[in-house]
Amino acid sequence: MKYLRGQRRKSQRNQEYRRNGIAALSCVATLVLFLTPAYSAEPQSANPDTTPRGGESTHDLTGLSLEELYNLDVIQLNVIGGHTHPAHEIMFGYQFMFMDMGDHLSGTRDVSEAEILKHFPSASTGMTVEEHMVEVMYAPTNKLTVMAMLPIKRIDMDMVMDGFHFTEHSAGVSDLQVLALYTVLGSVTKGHRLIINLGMSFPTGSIDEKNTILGETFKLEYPMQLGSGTYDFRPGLTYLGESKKWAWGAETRTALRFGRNGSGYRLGNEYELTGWVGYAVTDWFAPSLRVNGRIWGNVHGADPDIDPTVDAEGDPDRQGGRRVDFLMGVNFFVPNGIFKRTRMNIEGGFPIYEDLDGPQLSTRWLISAGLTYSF
Amino acid sequence: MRDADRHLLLARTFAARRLFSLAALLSVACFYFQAPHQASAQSLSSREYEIKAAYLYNFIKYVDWPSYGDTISIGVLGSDPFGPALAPLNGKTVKGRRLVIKHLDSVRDAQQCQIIFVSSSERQRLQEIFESLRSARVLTVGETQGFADGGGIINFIEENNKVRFEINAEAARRTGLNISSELLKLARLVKS
Ligand SMILES: [Cu+2]
Repeated sequence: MKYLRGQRRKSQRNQEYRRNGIAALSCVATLVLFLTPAYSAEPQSANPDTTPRGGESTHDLTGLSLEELYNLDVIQLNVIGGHTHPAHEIMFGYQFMFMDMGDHLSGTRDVSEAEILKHFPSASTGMTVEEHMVEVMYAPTNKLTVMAMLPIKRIDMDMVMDGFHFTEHSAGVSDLQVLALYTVLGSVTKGHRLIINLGMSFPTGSIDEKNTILGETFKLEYPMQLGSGTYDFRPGLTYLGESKKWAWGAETRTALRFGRNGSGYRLGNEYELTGWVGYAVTDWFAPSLRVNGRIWGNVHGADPDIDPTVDAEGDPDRQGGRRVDFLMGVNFFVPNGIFKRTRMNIEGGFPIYEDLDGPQLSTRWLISAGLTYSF
Repeated sequence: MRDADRHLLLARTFAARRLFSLAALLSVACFYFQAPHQASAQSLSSREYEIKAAYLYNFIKYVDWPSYGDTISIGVLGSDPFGPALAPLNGKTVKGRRLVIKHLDSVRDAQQCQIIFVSSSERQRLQEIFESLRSARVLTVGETQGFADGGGIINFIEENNKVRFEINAEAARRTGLNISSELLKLARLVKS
């Protein structure tokens, strides 16, 4: 009976995901429809308004040489990875990310729930992470772009204990990230660029997420917490290449953590290496392929309020892993009309290699969609 | 789990999710409703015209006129698509002369300009314009298909998401202007 109820609860949740998925899809479809008239609209030169406009912001590009102008993209095509903006440009962006996790891995070996339940009284059966990220970018000069990102997360993890199914849930603001991107070599117009990323994240995300289940309040496991609780350094390096029709690049990203957070631990460092290529089929549409490799460490120290013996997720030594994702994307640009500087991208993929200090839930698939507007 | 507990838990999570979705939706909505306002104010100062304005400035360096006055004038003929993008050029010094931006009401005023930019609003009158500029030492720049083959000197085109240009070298020679080879090298050359 308990089990049946659990199942019902689970299917309810699945149904909700399906509903959320449909909502997200219809959102994307609406946006596409919304943007379509913009690029089929008359070019702006036909605008009959001839009144001179004063006091409006404009970018003075007269400092650029003839060759630079010749190679300058009207809309910049490289959307993946760290990008910079020309001087005095501001960008607002919104990114949606969703990750679905299931089936356990220990190393690269599949581990069944039954096997986990031999060692722990409780086991996870699935997990979803939903992230909404708001970003703002500003370029004080052509070489320097600064950006701030605030992710908002929603994490759900299905658990089973003595045949009873329940779901752990946490949601809220994650860690605020501030980044400075500095172009050290090349420029937009040269076809190759090297950008140094110096970043920091601030512990704005909660590390004190709790749930009450069966009348008992307990602290949620490490993967369910919303932030790192520490001030993290996030250095990185971006290489961007652009030709007439192709855009490619590679990027490293890291999160270096020191000390201990307020709960007595720190998350493991993260190292990420990604490489991609995109091809502009038309001036408003470019599909892309990306491979993303990631290594992340175990938790150092431990939160005394998280019992490492109840489930694997609560064990500081079962958090790290290595993963390589293969991702396919589509990127849309609006070449003219009032949404001229709007870009939209949707990317989805799955791991092609995964090795976890488990047993841990493995990633089934992930999807992200973003919308940016510059002015 | 007691049913009361379960209902409480469900209610709480669902409320949280609804709240969360609402907040997400609102932030997207804010972004979208705010964007058009900025965009409409911004639509005329687009990157495309910032690039074209910078080209006009650069053309002066690569073109030799038989004679100059104290100033170099760029005239815009027809409806001005540049918005604020031309403003930074006004008052700049090129070749030791001050740059002046003018808005022209008629092609007759074009005689005092070194460059005239013919807006695409004039596409029906191009032949008429070229005819009345026949004897003037003016660099005509346009952005209309067929502008350069029709007798104009430089025509902006869009190529692979980039602003590029065509040059009718013969038309330039007829006008008595000398276009540097560096400029010709980048151009797509067309004939009348
Ligand atoms: Cu940006």
